[in-house]
Amino acid sequence: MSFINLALSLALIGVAVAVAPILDTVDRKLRARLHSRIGPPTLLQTWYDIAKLLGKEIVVSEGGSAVVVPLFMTVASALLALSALPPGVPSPLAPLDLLYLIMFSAAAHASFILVAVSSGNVYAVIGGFREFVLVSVNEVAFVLGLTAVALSTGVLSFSGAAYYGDFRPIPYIVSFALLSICLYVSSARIPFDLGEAEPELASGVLIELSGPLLAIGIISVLLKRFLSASITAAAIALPIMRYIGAYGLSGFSLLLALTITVWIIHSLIAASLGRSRVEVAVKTLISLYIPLTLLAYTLLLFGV
Amino acid sequence: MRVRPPKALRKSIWVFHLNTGSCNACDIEILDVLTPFMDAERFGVKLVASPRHADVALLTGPITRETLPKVVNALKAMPRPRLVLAIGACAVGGGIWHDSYSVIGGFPRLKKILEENGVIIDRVVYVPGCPARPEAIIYGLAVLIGLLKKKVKKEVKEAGKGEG
Ligand code: SF4
Repeated sequence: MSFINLALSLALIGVAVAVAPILDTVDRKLRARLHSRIGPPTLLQTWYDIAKLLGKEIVVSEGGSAVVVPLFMTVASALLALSALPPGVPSPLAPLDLLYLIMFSAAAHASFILVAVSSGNVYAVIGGFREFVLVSVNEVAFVLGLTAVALSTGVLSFSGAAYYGDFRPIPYIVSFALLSICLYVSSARIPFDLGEAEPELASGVLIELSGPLLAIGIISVLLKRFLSASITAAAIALPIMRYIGAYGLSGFSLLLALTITVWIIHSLIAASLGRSRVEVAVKTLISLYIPLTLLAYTLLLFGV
Repeated sequence: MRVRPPKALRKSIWVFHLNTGSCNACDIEILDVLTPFMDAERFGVKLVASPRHADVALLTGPITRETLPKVVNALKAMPRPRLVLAIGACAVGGGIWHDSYSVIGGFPRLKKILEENGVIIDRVVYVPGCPARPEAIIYGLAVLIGLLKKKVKKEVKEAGKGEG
């Protein structure tokens, strides 16, 4: 791995950890604006929340101590998945980077379900099963969408796609639509926050976590959200990078700027939507994913 | 041993709403505190759904015998430092139900039961009123986390003693 590649991957991980809690406060501020109120006093509010939690007692319920391992696995997988994103230079992992990204993003979701199952609380387990149903539908569509985005650029590699192969705009638009819906769903925002649906599940997956463990739980949720926004941003950045030649640091800055924009768009969508029932959410998604996938692959197959 | 609430709590206060059998008027005032008009989030206040996440229990009602075991469990589930804001005349001392057979009569009696069960409450602030006003609840929260000082001296007067 070249030095610049390693440095930019590490920089992306560092930025994700530092910025995701700030972006979460931006979320809360935006929601407050829509309610005509002030909201959190500073942009560091989520950081203050995390700092407070780190100083609190850890209470672990009977049989719930195993929760620590999947919690750290969720954070680690989300960070590893982030490192695979094209930071503006062709990844040495290409063409395996696509596989790497899919593997670690799936691992992040799977470990989060394990957090629920191992926390020893029935509400957490219900949340975990809801998450499982949603993730099973969504991950299949995510893999198909991501592959279609890469194929529409001619190369079966996400980061390499900016450099080689033909760019086919029509299949790209359809597959990007599919991918961006999947990534909104995996950001676990309303109405797809089924695993944590606060009113009925009392925080679901996170219900048993307290103190520093809860802080890690919150960071893992925010990192998964950042990952979703970054993959969407990377999919938008690819054609832009081809045409304006934004490589290296400028490509990296483009990726970051787009990630923040996508995060804000996600939070505006969440603020304007209501909560839905678990089976309605899954049915709606299936009815959207099947036609979009068929259309994207038909267009790719016929070389449009 | 009681634990002093850390300074970090002054910037982030997560509250858990615990109704112990109130008439619901105090609960509606709590909702007022959280809704856009009062906007408690501007002080770093966030309503949480699990007692495991909470710093402060917003306790309303005179603690009916039926709710007592659940209330003890909920407070036990909170990580230390464990703070309670007893809201309304009922939570403060039983209110109009203070001598009713079906309630234990306010937070001071609950505190004794909790201590007998090894559940320590690190700090309590009482917010009187029937129902307590939302401004008073926010003021009570600020006193509880140490943003404001208490204006009253610690002094207990028993009924029937003293003057006359
Ligand atoms: S203090 Fe008054 S308003 Fe509050 S719960 Fe008791 S009776 Fe209802």
